[in-house]
Amino acid sequence: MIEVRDLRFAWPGAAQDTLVIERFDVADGEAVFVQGESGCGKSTLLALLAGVLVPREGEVRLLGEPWSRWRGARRDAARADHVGVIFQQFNLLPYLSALANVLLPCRFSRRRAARAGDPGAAARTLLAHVAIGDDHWSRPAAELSVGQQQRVAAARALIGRPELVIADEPTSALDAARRDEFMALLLGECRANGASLVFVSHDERLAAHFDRHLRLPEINLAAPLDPVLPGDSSPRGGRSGLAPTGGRPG
Amino acid sequence: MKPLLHVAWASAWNRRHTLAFVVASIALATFLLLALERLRQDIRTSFVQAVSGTDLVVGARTGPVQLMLYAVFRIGSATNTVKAESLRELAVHRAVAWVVPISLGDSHRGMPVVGTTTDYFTHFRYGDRQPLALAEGRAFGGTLDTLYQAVIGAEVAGSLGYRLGQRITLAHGGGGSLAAEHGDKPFEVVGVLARTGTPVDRSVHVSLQALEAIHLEWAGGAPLPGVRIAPEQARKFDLEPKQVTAALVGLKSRSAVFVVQRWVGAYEAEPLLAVLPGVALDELWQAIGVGERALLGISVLVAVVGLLSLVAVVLAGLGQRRRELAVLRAVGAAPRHVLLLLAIEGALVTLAGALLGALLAAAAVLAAGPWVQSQLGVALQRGAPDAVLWGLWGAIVAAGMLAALVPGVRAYRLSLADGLSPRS
Repeated sequence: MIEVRDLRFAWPGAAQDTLVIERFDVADGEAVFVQGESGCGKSTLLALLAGVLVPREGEVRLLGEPWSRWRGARRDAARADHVGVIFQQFNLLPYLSALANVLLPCRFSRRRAARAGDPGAAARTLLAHVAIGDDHWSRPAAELSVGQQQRVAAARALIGRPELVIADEPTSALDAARRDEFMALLLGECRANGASLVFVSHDERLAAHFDRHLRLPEINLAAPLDPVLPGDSSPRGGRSGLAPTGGRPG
Repeated sequence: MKPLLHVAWASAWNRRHTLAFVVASIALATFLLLALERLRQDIRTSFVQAVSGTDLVVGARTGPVQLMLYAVFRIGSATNTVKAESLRELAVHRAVAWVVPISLGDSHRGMPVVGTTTDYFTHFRYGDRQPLALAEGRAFGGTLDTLYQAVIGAEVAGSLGYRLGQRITLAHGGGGSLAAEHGDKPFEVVGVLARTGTPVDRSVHVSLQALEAIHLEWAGGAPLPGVRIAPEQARKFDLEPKQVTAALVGLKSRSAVFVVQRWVGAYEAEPLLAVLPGVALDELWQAIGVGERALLGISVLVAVVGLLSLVAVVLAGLGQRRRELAVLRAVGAAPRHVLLLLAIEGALVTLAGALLGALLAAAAVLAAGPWVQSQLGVALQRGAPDAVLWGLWGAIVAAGMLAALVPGVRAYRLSLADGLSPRS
């Protein structure tokens, strides 16, 4: 699904690279948990995987295509066709209804719209799957609770069955009960659609839900390594490449 | 484009309270620009139409513009008069076809009174050499029996509600004082002229003899104490005017216009001036045009301020909308879509403001038209906008769309730099 090779990325004006990753792969249908503290480059990695940013060096391949080398418009079109994104919060356009928010990707991608069949019906089905009652479908997103907004965002990311779903700390604003409910729902829908999931969070407790658990500092050669903490069994003291560090076997 | 239209409309509607002020400022700017341009065009038309078919306007020596102002537009007053004898000499010049004397100075309820002869109704032309036409009644008789008859312009009839048979009295000078009324010698309205869109509409026309009659017991601009001459008695006096204010002159051939103009300029019995109406109107327009251009300049500046407010409001809101832009980028919107989104929003706001402004301008023309007609003698056109007005309107819309590109380009850059998460 995703292949990252010899990637180097620096924000404009930055003295040094934010991300240096030699190799990072995500298999088709795989759910990968990328853990890291705030500021370690998680969101930057997701933006690179989503094709919103391009590496200074190296390559990101999506579905076997070298899309980090493509022109911006082609990358944007590919993102619309193949990638669903969920943010930490402020996921939705507050002035659109829940239904209109879910339909947004189909407005930018004919492929997603075609795969959805009847986009309106697909959006309503997805909203029902993520437990948003039909009395909320026409309400502006701003009137939904944070938990409801995150579930609507999941439905939006999943409409038209994209091959890749990337999620940037989508549970950080949820309480424990809502968090577990959301995780079950997201993973269930991704598995049902056969979508790969790259999920970044600083919350290590979520790792158990995933096929693979990575700590970003361990694969990001640009980041200083944390010392090994007492009682920490994870290999924080060294870079482990792509070896699974926890969670369920795939 | 289509997906963006829906989002742009929803986004703009979501911020409708803020954008309403921008729409209002653009609407006011558009209103000012269109209304002023309409007024400017119609004043110019009114100028051009005020007199035609008259080769020369002759008066006491003064400035050409001043002569035109009082002789044609009935604004201001003459500094001196012309002897009737001088006009009689002019009338027998071999190149002169007709001379129509006019005598000004009196008024009726703020409307100027024009003393003239029946030739006025024959020779006076306006617009594209259109003759005066009577909507009702007839011209005054010009004889002693028909001495106290008046023919009124369309605006006088309309605004004062006069009909044939109405009895009116004239006031000495500009009016406004009961003591200056010629109340003892009322006139009967015997004719109402069809509307011309010129100062004729606001004028009350009487014979020169009638003006002499009502001033028999007056001297030095005031009634002689203890002297009363009844209307019927007045007919027994010599009522041929000795002096008039000016004269409209028609020539047998336009080619003689400079010959006659020189003849008038060199007239020895009294200092006279003959002006070519077209040339003088141009000079007059040049003089008025400075103010008119200044007004137009100010309204253009107001339009610029309105459009700048659009840029400022959209730019100011951009910081808060970076999340919104990131969401759009995440669902597949390209940076160019982000630019387009802001541009469409600016276009919607500009279009709404420009449409509202155009409607306001049309409503203002409808509402203020009668007042402008009565106060300025300018007939505002109520028809569809012409090419110039459409051009101005289009320029505002185009400028608004261009202005909207400024926040659009800023959003474009932000969306490129932010990635999926806005970076402060």
